[in-house]
Amino acid sequence: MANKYCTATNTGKGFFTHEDRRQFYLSGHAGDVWVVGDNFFGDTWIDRVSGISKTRAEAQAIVDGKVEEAQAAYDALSTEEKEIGLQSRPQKYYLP
Amino acid sequence: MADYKGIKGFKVTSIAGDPTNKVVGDVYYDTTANALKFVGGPSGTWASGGTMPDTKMGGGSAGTQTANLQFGGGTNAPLNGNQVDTTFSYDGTSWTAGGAMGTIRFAMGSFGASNTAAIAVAGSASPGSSSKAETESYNGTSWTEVADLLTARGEGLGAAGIQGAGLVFGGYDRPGTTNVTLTEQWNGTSWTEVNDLNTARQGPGGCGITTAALCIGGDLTPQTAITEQWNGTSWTEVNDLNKARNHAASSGTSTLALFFGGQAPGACAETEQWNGTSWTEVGDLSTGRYLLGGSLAGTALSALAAGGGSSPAGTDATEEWTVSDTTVKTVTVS
Repeated sequence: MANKYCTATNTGKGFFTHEDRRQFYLSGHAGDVWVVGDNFFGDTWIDRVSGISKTRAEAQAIVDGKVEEAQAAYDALSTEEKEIGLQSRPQKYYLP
Repeated sequence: MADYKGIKGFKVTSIAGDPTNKVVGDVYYDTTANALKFVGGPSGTWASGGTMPDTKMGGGSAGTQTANLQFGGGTNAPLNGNQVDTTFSYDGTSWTAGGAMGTIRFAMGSFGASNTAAIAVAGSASPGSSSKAETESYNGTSWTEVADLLTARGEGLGAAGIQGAGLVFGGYDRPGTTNVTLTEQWNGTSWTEVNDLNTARQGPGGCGITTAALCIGGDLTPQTAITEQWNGTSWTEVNDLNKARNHAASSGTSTLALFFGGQAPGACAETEQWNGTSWTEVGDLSTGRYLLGGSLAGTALSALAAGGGSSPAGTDATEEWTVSDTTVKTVTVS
């Protein structure tokens, strides 16, 4: 399934609806990046939320940047803080 | 090749948009979307809910999708450096600030039926994620300290119940270095130790009541998929989750529950439904998150995911799970 990529600010209730979720693929990522199923409904949603279109590479770079920021913050913690922090070191991943 | 009319005896109806009265099995052509659609059976999805006043992860939670309470935790990782005492109350549309907790903490045990009746117990606090034992009760306006858990612990306790009758289980003993199996029961006034979990763990999910509860997943380093069922007296291991994870959230009862999000070790979006016997994956959150808040007194048909650590920062976003009677699906041909 092809996807489109955009940035958009989650405005809360109504930003994406149950109907939206049934009609197209949608996943949210760091940096307000959204991966949107490439169909009529996905296109309509991008317009509705005033999404700013990105290429896959542009979207991936935004997410990578946020993960790198978090990795740097994690690496700056003491060994003890890492052990008790309840979170693991953030890892980069590929957008779908 | 047979066409639709040849099989069904009539043509596919064309309408602008979706029909008002949907019947499972109906097929139609939506001239607005230029798409062939059909009406399927019940299914659940996550939609965006109201945004919380601030980011929150690792907090306690109570209530349902439309009467929910999120409290304590931290604004971001690391929780030791960002812990907060704030309480946020949700009415199904928007969040408002409630009374501050008396004992600041994160990764606690928590339960309660609504946003006006909740219990916060134990948890971790700075410095050093030290274990707490304090129990506080919320009345819709303010928190009151009521009693101590018999054994202090933190880093995530499973919980079940309502304000006057609850259960907490598991967690981590710090400054000790062990996951615990301890289960304690709350009668509205004091805690009593009851039978242990079979598998010690920190950060499990929980749901149900004091006579019928679930302990779901958790962290044994690495994460576990083990599920145990409480019958009011003892724990019995039942079928595993499909995806091992810890610090997820839950909603429902011991026979019909929803378990969502978590850490495995990255942030998870998966949602699984328990039918009393086994777990089935039913849908994904839009955004994977761990150390999130749930709706312990909700159902498997109506749940709330609030805040959490979201690949990688703390979030103020919420999502609402709802199962509809019918589902319109678009027919795609490739």
